[in-house]
Amino acid sequence: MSAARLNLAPEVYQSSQREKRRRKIARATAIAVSVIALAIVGVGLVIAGGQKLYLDRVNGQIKDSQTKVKSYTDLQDAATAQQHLKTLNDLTQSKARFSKFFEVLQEFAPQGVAATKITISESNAIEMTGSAKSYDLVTKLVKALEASNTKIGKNSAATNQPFFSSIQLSDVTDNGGNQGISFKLTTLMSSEVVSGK
Amino acid sequence: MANKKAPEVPKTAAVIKREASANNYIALVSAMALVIVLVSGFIAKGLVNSIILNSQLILKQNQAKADLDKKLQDIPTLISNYKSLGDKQKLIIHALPTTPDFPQLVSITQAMSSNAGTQLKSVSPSVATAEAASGAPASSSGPSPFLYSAEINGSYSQIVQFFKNIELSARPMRVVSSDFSSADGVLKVTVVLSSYYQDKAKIDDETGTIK
Repeated sequence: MSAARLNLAPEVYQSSQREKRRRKIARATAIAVSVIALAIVGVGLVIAGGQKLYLDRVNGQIKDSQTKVKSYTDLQDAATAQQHLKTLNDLTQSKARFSKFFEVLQEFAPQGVAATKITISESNAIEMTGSAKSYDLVTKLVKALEASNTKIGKNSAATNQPFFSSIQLSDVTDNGGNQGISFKLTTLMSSEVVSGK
Repeated sequence: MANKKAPEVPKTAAVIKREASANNYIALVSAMALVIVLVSGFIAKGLVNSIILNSQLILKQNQAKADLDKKLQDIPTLISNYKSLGDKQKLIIHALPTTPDFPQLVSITQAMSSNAGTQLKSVSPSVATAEAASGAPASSSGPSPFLYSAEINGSYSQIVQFFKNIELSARPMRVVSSDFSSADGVLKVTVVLSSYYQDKAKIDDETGTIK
């Protein structure tokens, strides 16, 4: 015996099927979006976890190395000696030979000129306050310093570097009576004077 | 050709109920998906920040490890070289002490003066640097200057010899200024000297914050 199925209301049936399709699409879309979102979180967790494990491992290795470094009892003294040797070398390299300045001054300064105060900066600029018996002697001193090593002095030659450069004279004052002339002179010492070579 | 229009479904109570049920279902599913996406987004944002920070941390830690490995490799040679210095170890400490060590400077200045034949009248630390030295620790990154002044009497050649002795001093010194005056044929010089000291080397590893 067979039974035939008759759709007496096709519009109602189609409407029912449409609702089912809508539900299906909505469910599939929601699942797909959720899976993608969760997958991104999952990948992030895996990467972050891997990084954490790696960091823990490197941290452990660093701590081991630090323990080994601390086991060297002489390290502090040895490192200090190494650092101080370097500093000493730098300080020696940059040391100005002040005595050489006096030797040069003695050689070139005319009689009757005396220094009363000499200041030397870290860039080897010299500021000299002095006294002279006359204005002429101050001029002679400046000219002598300008010509030192190029025109006057032992082994002087025009091709040589002058011992002093940027010579500037200021505050030249007659103090009256027997006190003579006071002056202030600034100049830069050449590397030859500074190094004493 | 005319469009075939879908026949309208009569809005019976059953049809309306079915449509409402479907709409509710879709709204519920969408809301759940939205919640999942929002929560995932929030977690993902935190994870991305954490991954970026960890990446920077990994770079720095790898660098620190490489530095430490290099340090460990160099230490035996450094210590061996230091031990081979013998008595020169003390010379280095005296040449560049870790404190200003003014008493040592007095002794050195006295030796330089007597060697030059001058008379040492006085030695005193510069007020400014003495105050600075008593308050602030020495820097290990570079030498700290310590200014002090000395007053000496002697002839011109003796004074020049004194300046030469300053240059030959094992403890580096620099003449900052010198004042000259003469009385009774004796040259009197007040010289301001700069000497140096430096703190012990830092061997502890430095730590930093990664932002």
